[in-house]
This record gives sequence, structure tokens and C-alpha cells, in this order.
Amino acid sequence: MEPIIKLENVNFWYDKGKPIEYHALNNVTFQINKGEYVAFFGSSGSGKSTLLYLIAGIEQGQEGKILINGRDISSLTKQELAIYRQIGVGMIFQQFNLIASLTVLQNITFPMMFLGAAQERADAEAMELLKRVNLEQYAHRFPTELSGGQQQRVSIARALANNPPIIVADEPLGNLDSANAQAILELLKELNEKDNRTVIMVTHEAWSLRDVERIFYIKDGLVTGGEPAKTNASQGALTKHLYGQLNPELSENQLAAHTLAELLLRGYPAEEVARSETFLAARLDGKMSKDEFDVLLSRPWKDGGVGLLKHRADRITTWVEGITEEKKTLHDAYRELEGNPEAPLHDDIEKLKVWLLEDYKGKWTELQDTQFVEVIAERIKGTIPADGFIQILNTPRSKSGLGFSIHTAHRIAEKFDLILNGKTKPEVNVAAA
Amino acid sequence: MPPDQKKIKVLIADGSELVRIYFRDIFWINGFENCCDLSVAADLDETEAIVKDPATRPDVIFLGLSLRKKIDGRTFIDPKYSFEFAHRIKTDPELRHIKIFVFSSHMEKQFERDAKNAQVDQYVYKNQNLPKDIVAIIDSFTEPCKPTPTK
Repeated sequence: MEPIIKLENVNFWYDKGKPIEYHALNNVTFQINKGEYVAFFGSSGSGKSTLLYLIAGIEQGQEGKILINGRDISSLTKQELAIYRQIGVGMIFQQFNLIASLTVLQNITFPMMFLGAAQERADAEAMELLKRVNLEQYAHRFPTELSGGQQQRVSIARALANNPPIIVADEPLGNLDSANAQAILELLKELNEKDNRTVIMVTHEAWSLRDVERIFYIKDGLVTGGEPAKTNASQGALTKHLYGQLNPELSENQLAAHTLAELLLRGYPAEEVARSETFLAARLDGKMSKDEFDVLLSRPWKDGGVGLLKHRADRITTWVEGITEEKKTLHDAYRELEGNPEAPLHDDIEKLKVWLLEDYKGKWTELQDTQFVEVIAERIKGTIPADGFIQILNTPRSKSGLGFSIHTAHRIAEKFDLILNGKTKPEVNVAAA
Repeated sequence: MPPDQKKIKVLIADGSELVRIYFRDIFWINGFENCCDLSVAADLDETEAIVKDPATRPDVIFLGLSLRKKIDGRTFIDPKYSFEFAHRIKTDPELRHIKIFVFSSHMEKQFERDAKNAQVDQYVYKNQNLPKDIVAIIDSFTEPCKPTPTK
């Protein structure tokens, strides 16, 4: 059978020829058959997304062949490539990438309009797709009015707008809590099994691989594996096996620290995950006390810590103690985290935002919302001190601030400090226990 | 596709390069090239030549209504020439088996009536048909040569 996707000796560089040149994909060769569900498993910065963008025609190939149904897309004209991107591949992103100024319905009709569909035909189709993801009642809302899980379902409906035979999903669960992540996995499975679409997912989370048929490993731009997934292996064993495949050079404790850091800091930037991994390794090796570990997790980033919210730091510390005190095995720990994945950072910030603004009755724009989320993230990380935080909240919108009155700015900052110091938890439960 | 099965010959005749690319991409991306031989024509004279030659004669035509036609050295673009051409095919015992799908953005009812009079198989409105609808049309005549699903 002819493969639907075949890559032959593909190399890709960012900033090629410059001193900062980065070799993102190194002689990558593999093939995927029509109707398969495969995953590329690897850590952040391994080249996973680059690979997807090349297959989707978003990045242009530099060296090697990217064959779709036997035709090299590197040789397509701009017009051919533009149509290929619309009808060949549907993309699902970690950050959803919905257009905030368009309604849910308009987000889905947009790709159809690009191909010249009449408004009413596109609307009817978009409603059908919304029904499929159980969101028809939200058609006329804006994306920011929806939860993360709902937004991701909209983005799946959008990916299906032009009926592409290939669906690529770039860390589709990274910003979702456990229940929403399970719902998205069900949808991906359905697109593969019911529609017979070829589905490719890139992920660094072993538990999201439960339905895939084959797993490729990707590390430092090198792709290996492609063996059938061990669907009957117990989940804890699967995690150990997968991370072990990816990092054969690590010792048992290093591997455990690496794996736990990835599982415990879902959705956090790679630097935070890496720093947590160092502390976890020291704790598991007995080179760091429980208290030191806890302090370092919640210490601001600029002072050498990870900058986690106190509640999350405490919870992780207690949780890790279960392993160091040998009350639970690593196998159990993996299984526990896979069965009930940590709420991702994105979720924490959204809940915190709602809690901080619960008494605020003033005008609130989309831009303010985006800025506020960024400022909360920086404040949690510790890169913005308390007085700087108040200043940004109080600066007028005309000067790129949030535009709160000084009274409101103080009230929000005080409330936030309670969280940072671990003296309270927001009603909405920042770090779901 | 079974090895002894002949490929279905499909001709895309449209004055717009984008439409020709769109069709070619749909055939390619959905794997229809395994059971179809595609040819394209950008004007009516080229279309007529492909149909006339038994070696290139298609089994199916997607026919546009804005195709250039040369008459006495002058170039005309008028839907009536596409309808006349379709009628000639459908009234010729040797050619009438050829399926004709008119693919056009013209929404006028008169054109639909002209298409019916010319005995075309289906009038397909460009802006009312999404890629999945085009795939369903192609499915309707490629059924015998489609590969068996993998699952």
C-alpha cells in the first residue's frame, strides 16, 4: 500500500548560515499509511513541531523529500501549496489559535470562505461540525467566552472545515485538564476510526498515547522507532518505557526526575521544567532535604527557584515525599499522574484571573484580558515584584497598562499576595488537589 | 485498485487556473489518482481536441462555463459554447457515455435550464459545494476502483 505521507532524508535548519544556526531536523526518514494514527513523542525543542509544520506545508522544506500521496510538496507552486494547506491538512494547536475577534461559527467558516464557499452553505456546514463536537449552542459566542476544553473542540471543528484526509495535532492536550483532555482524545480517535482520517499527534505526555497505533521518538531532531504501540502495557510501565527509549543515557533517578518534571509541570515553559528536574533529581538522590526542595520550587525564578505558586509547590513536595519515603513506587506514581494529569499552568492562570476579578464590575476588553494573563504569569514566576505589579495594574490603558483605579489595583495585588504566600486558596481552586 | 481495472479518465476543463489546481489537489490529496488519469484543459478548443482523440477521450468531464473559444480567429467567452459542446457529446452515440458535470459560479436559473437541455449529468454550483461535496461526486463514479479501506 502506498503511504499517504513519506519523508526521505529531510533536514531542516533555523537561521541557516548564521552563527546561531540550529539544525532542527536531522536526516529524517519515515512513512505513514493512509488511515493510521501515529504519534511523535519527545520533549520540548526536540523538533516535533517543525516536523508537523513541514507536513502541513506551513514551513517550506529545505532538504529532502516530503511526499504526500507520492508527490513532493517541496515542488508545489505557491498556489498549489495554498490549496494543499486548506484541503490537505487540518491543524490542531496547543494554544487553540482561534481568532478572538470572530465568533465560534465564523472561526469555522473562515477556511471555507477562503475556498469561495457561499456564506449560508459555510454556516450550515459549520453548524454540523459544531454539533459533532457538542458545541452548537456556543456558535455565536466569542472564543474567549469559552473554556480551554471548549476552545480546543472548536479548533477541531475548524480543522475539519475543508474535509482534510490528514489531521495533525501539536500538543493538543497541553493546556487542558484531565476531563477535557480525555474528551479531545476521544474526538481524535473518532476522526481516525470513524472517518478513516490519518491522524498525527506530537506530544511529550505518555498518557496521551493511549489510542495511537505507532510511536516515533524524536530527540534533538532525530526520529527513531515507529514500532506498534504497546496498548496492552500498563500505563506506569508505558511511561517508563517511553521516556527510557528517549533517554537511554540517564540513570534510574535521573530518568524518574525527568519524567516526573514533565508530568508535574504540564504546560510550563521548558526552562521551568528543566530546573524542576534538577531539584527533583537531587531530592530523589537524597542530596536535598524536603524543606529545601519545597522552598526552591516556590522561590521566584530570578532568585534561582522555579517560581511555582506556594500551593502547587507544597503539593508537589508532599507528593514526591510519597516516593522518597517509599510509600509508593515510581510505577504507581506514573500511573497516578497519567490517570489524573496535573492541571496545566494555563488552567491555573485562568482560574486565578477569574478569582482576582470576581468583584470587578468595570469595563473589560479582550486586550486587557490578554495583558492580565501575561502579568499574572510573570508575577507567579516572580519576575515582577509586588510594587511593579500594582504599577502595571494602575497604569492607564493608553500607556499599555491595565487601567485599574489605584484602589482596585491594591485590592487585586493584596489578594494575589495571599495566594503567593500560600495563605489562601481561591474559591475556584487554583491547583486542583 | 484491482490490477486489471482500467483507470477512469477525468478531464478538468476550466478557464481559471485556481479551479484547475483545486481539482487536481482534491484528486491527489484524497488518493483518487490511484484510480483516475487526470488531464486538464484551459480553453474549449483544447477540451474538444482531447475529447475527439480516442486515445485521450475522457470518461468524465468537469466543465467550466467561462472557457475561451476561437471562432474565425477571434476569441469568445460565453457559456453557450460550453452548453453546445456538452449537447454535441450527449447526442453523439459514440460519446454520450461521457459523464459531464458543469462546475460554475453562475447561479442563474437559465444556466441550469440550459445545462438540463444539453443533457449534462449534474450542474454543480461552485460556491455551494465544499471540498467534501466534490469528494462525494468523485466517489460516485470511482466506486469500482476505490481501494478497500484499511480498517
